[in-house]
Amino acid sequence: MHALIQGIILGVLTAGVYALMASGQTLIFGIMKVVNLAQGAMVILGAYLSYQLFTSFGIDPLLSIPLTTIAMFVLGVAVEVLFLRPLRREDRSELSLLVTFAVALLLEGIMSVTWKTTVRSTNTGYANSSWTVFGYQITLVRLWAFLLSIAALGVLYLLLNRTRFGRAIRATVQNPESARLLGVEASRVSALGFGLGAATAAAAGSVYGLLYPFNSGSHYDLISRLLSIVLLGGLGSIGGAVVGALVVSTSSAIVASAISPSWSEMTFFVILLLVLLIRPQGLFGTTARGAI
Amino acid sequence: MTTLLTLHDVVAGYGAGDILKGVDLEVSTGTVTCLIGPNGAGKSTVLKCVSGLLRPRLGSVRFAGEQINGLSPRARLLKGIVHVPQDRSLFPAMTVADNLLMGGYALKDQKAVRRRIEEAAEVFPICRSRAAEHAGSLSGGEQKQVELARTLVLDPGLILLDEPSIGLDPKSRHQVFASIRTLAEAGRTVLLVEQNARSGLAASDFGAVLESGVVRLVDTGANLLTDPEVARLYLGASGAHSSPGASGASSAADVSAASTTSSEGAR
Repeated sequence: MHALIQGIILGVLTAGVYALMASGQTLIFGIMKVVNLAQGAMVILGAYLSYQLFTSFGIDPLLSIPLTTIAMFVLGVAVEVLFLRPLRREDRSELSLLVTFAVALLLEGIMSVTWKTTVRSTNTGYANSSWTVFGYQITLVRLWAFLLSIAALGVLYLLLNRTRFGRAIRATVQNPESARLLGVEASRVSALGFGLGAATAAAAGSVYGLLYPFNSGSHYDLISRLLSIVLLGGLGSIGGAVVGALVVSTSSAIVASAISPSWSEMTFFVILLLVLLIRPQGLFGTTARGAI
Repeated sequence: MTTLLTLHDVVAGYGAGDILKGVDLEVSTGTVTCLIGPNGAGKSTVLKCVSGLLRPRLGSVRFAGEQINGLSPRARLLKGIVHVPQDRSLFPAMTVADNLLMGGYALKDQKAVRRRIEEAAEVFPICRSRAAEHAGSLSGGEQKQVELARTLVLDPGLILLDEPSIGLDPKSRHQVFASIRTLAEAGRTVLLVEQNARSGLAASDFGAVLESGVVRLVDTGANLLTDPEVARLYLGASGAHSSPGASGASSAADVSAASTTSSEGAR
């Protein structure tokens, strides 16, 4: 029982980070109907940027997030304008999957050249600190990572629900033609939306670097998890991404602590398959128009 | 009455084919004009050419005296042309209040937007009573009322309505046409496409018959409602006025011939 509750605590704390990564992925899909295979590489690039700021200037990864998110936002906008917009103009959007994979490989190459392929990790002073609450261990770094992810998701929620730009994004997701007829410029929303997705990847990357060792090839493992989370939650649903991340993280952590770590990865994919068999659109996905 | 919208010899279509093959149409300020015609005649395509969703290949679209062929949908919106498409155009997972705010998205003056939302709610009280509910939870007729209210947020010069009664039950259809009359009485200019020709013409000052991409006949709504040929072809009349064995082709020719003798044909 103790192992089970410890697993749940660990799973919930880790879920915040995955929810943040997946929210960017699902946001991009909701706006542009593009499955962004570069999202994992963007998370790793965010991790590298915050690692570099920490090792070179001593800036704590949790404090460097505003810098990395701005940089990655600009990168995201550039990727959309340079690589994805021409596809829409030529009515070849079906190629976006290949293009985002190419962007992932490009980013991987740049990271390999810049930081080599050595595994890195951001070791702060509090990396090994932990608290014991009612006999259960909570590592400080995971708690910070969780709180920060929740705060970032809160900012994203406010942006989408309390601002004019957020209303335009939600409108575009729900009814693109109607949004266009009301004066929403689809190309602008797409570029800024892709930038926003990349910015969430940067915030998640800073936190990811604190929790796990990484190198330029780590994005392959990440993207498979992210795609599974957004499929489980329902493509285009941020609420679904949060729930999907909770299911992924807690089920993996529970099985790892209660049965065996070697079964934890498989458990999640079994859950994913079962959910998709019963509800192909995912837990919170819609068969017609989406909603975020 | 001054002419607000003029389409002259408009040719437009999708891919290689032309749907509109030389449309001529005028809409006067402060009137409701209803376009009727068979499926595939190009009624919705006319509206798309006016709102900018489709660029004509030939011909001109003039609004308030200015040629607008090359303008984007957003630029036309800012000139006061609002298009309510055939499918339900609300954002179902957003509240009614947020949907109305989206109606003024193109405007910078948010104070004016909020004032106009209040004014629209005077005309369509549902916007106030159901403001906090998701638009997707409203009935079809209620959604149409919110769509019409949303058009008012821009204080439009011209409202384009594409099949506003499609998919609605009789009671909701009645509500929608009553709402269109409300707009007309407030002096709004409306160009309406309607499959339910009898209700559409009854709610309109003028009507136009579109067949095979060309306007065949223009007259007042009342005259078209009593025109035996129009009644036989589009109003589901019993056939009392039709000649036995008349084919679709000869009927179209008859309607075409009628257009040349219409007293309001210059409209």
